Amino acid sequence: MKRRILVLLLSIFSSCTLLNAQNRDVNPLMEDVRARFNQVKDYEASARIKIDVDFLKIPVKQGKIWFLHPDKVKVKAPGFSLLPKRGMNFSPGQLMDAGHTAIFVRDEILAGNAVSVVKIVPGNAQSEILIATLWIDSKRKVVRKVEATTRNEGTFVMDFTFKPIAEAYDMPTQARITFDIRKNELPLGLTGDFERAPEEKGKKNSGKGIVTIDYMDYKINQGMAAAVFGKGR
Amino acid sequence: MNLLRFELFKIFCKPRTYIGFAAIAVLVPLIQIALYIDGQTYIEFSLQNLKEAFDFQGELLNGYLASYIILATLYVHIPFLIALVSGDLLAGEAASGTLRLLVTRPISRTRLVLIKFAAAMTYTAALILFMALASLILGILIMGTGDLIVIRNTIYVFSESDVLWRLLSAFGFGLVAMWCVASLSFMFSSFASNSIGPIILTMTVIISFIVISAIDLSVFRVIKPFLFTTYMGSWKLFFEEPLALRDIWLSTGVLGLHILVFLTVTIINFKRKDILS
Amino acid sequence: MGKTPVLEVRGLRKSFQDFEAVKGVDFTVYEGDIFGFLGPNGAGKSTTLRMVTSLINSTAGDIRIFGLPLSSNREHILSRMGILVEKPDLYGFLSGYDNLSMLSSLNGKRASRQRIEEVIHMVGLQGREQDKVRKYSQGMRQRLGIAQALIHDPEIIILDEPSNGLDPQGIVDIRELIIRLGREFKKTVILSSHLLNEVEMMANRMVIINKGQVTVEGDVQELLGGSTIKVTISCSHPEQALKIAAETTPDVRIADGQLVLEIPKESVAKLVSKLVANQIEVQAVVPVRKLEDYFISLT
Repeated sequence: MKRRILVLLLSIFSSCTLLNAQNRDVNPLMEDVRARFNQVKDYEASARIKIDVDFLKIPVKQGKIWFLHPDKVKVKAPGFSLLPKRGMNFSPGQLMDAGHTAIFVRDEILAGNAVSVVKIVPGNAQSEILIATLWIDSKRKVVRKVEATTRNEGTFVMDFTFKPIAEAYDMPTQARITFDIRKNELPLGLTGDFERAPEEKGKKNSGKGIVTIDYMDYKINQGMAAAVFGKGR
Repeated sequence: MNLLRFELFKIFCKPRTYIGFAAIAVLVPLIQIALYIDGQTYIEFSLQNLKEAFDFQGELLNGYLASYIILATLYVHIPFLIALVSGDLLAGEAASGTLRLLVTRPISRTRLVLIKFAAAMTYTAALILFMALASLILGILIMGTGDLIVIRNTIYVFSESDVLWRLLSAFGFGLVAMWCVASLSFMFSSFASNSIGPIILTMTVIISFIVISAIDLSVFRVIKPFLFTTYMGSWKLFFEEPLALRDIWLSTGVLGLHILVFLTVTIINFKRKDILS
Repeated sequence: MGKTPVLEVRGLRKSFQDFEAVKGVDFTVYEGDIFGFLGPNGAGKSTTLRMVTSLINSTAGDIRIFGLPLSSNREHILSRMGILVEKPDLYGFLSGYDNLSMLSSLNGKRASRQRIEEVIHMVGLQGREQDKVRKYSQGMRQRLGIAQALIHDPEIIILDEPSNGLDPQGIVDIRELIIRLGREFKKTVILSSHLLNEVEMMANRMVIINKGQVTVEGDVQELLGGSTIKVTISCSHPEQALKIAAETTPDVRIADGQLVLEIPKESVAKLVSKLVANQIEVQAVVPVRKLEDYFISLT
């Protein structure tokens, strides 16, 4: 499942044959973004994962995250942790592949940064992603926001935060993933909770989940992830 | 102190005292082993909806979860084991005729009741302590420690370092709740001249109250706050974040008040009672 | 005989719902008395004794022990009394020794090993004190019941039907013990019984209670008259028994296979011991005069 979404997601960015955008060709911009990310072959970083779901309370987890080009991601945190299936493996480094259509929508200011909004329409009708929108910082050549609508799993949004001044690799300091989540009836038998507490008042079930990952202490292209994946998976 | 020792000695000379310990000694390992074998399936089943959005990493099946589950499942059964002993303390001696020996000693009836009450509380504490230690030690030996997942209306995950105090507090609160049960059956014991009555009556009261609490009708909803069983389940409040301290204190206070009322009724009744057995 | 009253009961009443079990009982026990509390079954003896021992509350009336009202001096009074009411129910899962040790701790201070052994000797349980009470015969339990009443060396000893469940030798032993308690240890003993001869043989004063009321109270000698008692003895070898009894009294014969004789009251116990010592099994010692007859004679 994770892999499927990952592939779909990557294919959004990777495919763009970037046919004529309304009045601007976004192909060079996409190419720049891809080139920037392709510089990163692997990294290791400390991660702080915070999960915010209405019916789920889990402490913030401190752990480590490893990335290996092109699409391998591994997270390790003490104890039990929940890792979002969508977005965790997002790597806009592979934006270019055949089959998708990239359409320039408009320029706008997103959280104080000038961005180009680009819509991606998958070329493949069977694609899990029905449509995606990218907010690309044209100055720093990074993706600041992704919004994707999927066939079966609703819409998810990823917001990336970067340091105010670009560094060599310009990696995000924070990724915030917002997604749809249904609350199923929880089976209560396991922990013998026969009395059901009434729903907390004033707290409506938004049906949204937010996972915030803070990245710290990037160690980029030092070959550290290779070892992790070598003995790992 | 001598007298309390005498009471405890009598309690621990009776076979029925060991039924509670034996039941726990059998049930706790049984639940632990069952969880060890099948617990993972249970957890995964419970977390199905989360699986759509999340990958799970790390072990949830551990000694802490086992202790939580044991506490939750045995909560309805422990009162019976408690009543078995505390319901016998006065009525049993009345039935066997030894109450005459005690009441004709130069010791006030109030003091006699208080000593027996202290013995009931000590027995209850020993049983709960045994249960807590058996659950935790055995659970940790078999399954180790780890983060604790609690599935209620909300799913809570507590870090490993944040669990033990919660479990110990929950067992501690459980002790207060069981003291309340012990006081109730002790009170019934002061009215009876054989121990079957108080034991059955205690269980009848507890089961009826729990059933009334469980049926969600408006009539029952009105009386629910007045049933002490409503507050017995508050040990679960230790597994919430943020901690509902006010509710925990309220529940402890209500149970403490019940203990006091039950004890007072016992003393008044026993002081006025004609020993006819 | 001391004339200091140690127990005074005035206008004592007890009702259980509609039934009045004790209807205004008055009597006095003096220091050093062996006081017989006599009455047929259901007369109100036990109810009265239960009120005197604070097991039940009176509906009306006044109980003063050692000159103090029982209601307001309960613990002090009970510390000076040894009580065995009804069946000697003790802790079966404890040994005789442990029963005495544990129960004595309820008197404020646990009895010394020496005192426990002394009392065990007094009631004749030596050699069996470490056995669990559940293994005791009824007679042994009765002896232990008396022992627990004596353990703290009380001034007043109340024994409810002390010879219940005992074999003839046991009855004799206990009678001798009670007489010793009075004469040798200068204790005041209150014993209840439904057997006139039992009281007659042990007590110096008595009260007879019937239907919840006192029928008569006074000196045993004065009330029952004479120093001899007429009894029938059922035993295994009546002919042989006749010869032995004849050594004690000339007034002895055999009727319906039983020994019928009139002997001094204090000699009954000795005679029974003698018979038993001669391998004669004594099945019963029954006074010819029954309580019922005495009631008739009173009215």
